Amino acid sequence: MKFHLDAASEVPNYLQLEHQIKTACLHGKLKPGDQLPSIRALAKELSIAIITVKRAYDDLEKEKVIELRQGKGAFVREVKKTKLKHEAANQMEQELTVLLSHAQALGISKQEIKSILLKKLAEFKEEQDND
Amino acid sequence: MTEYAIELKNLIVEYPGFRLYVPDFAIPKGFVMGLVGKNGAGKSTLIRSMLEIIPRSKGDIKILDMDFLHHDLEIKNKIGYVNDTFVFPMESTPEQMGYQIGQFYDLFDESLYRELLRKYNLKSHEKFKHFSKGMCAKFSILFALAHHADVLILDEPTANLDPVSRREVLDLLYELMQDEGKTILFSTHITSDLDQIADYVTLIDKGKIQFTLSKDELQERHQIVTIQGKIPEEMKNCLKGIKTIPDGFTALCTEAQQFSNTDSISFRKASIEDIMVYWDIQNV
Repeated sequence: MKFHLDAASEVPNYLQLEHQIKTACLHGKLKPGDQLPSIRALAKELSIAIITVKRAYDDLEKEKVIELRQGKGAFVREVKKTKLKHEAANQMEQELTVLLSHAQALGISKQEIKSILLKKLAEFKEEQDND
Repeated sequence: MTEYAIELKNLIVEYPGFRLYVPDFAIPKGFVMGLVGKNGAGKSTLIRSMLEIIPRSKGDIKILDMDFLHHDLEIKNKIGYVNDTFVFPMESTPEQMGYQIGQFYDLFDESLYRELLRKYNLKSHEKFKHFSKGMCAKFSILFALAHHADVLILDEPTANLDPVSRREVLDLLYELMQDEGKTILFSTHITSDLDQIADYVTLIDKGKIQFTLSKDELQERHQIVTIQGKIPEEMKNCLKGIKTIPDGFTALCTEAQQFSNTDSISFRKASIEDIMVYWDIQNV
């Protein structure tokens, strides 16, 4: 299971990691009972601070996506797909807000935004159909 | 059982023309604390006084819950100290240093030492005068690890290293941190190293600690803000290093989480270097 963090992104590292883990759960790449790498091993692999991974794991534990077992490690929990989807939608909304405010600042009109969005959705749908 | 590897209270060190005053400072066990600041800010003074290498006017120091008065040798057995000066004689070899100096430590582990030398490609019978700077820096750190130090204190350990060697040192530290019993204090100018590995960052300036924050608090709260038009009243108190730009201002906001992106205000991530630089700009 390979995670990839985008240093240039405005989204903090710990959030990116949380999103990727949730996405992996949603797509079945991570199944209930699967073990995640230890906090320290993952920090080393991604070359980020231990505390960043710890924050992500702690948040995910609070959200009941994973379970931290003392002395054993982090394990994926049974999560309702609908709950994860709901969260993914929230996350998307957050990222869209950032994108839209940038677009506005650059002077892109609502019409233009809408047409770009529809164009992308059409491409996206094609990809999904091809899966 | 304390959760801190190092605890300082009311530390005062005085030189003619300089005064270090640290009312409170603590490093949690099992993490990496980065210490940043300009030349002359007090980083080395803080580290050296903390280890009783230089005297202090006052202050309570606890390392792994022990104080030097009652547990001097115990502490010294559990810490490793490395700075940017190579302290071993150029005519000596790692083999000789292991034998001669290893004896001073209760827990000097010969097989660990040999394993580390081998792993980082350092020849035990080669004289240090034939080592490159990078090899010397790595050796210093490895030597500090060979007696099973639980606290590693590094004062600008990568100062003279090229990027490749620095990366190797960082990898070494990541490897070390797999053990949650190990704590690192890492003082450096090369803030990009800390952008990666530091869990906590302390900024010191003019002998005082300006802040100690965890990596995500640091990144959430400190962001570069670009303001069109006038600076909002409620922001005025938390801006540092205000610079005028066409149509507005840019600055480091130290409480960015309180504000959000709007039409006239936008934020971007600040690196530790940004934070240091903006913090330092004198505003009229």
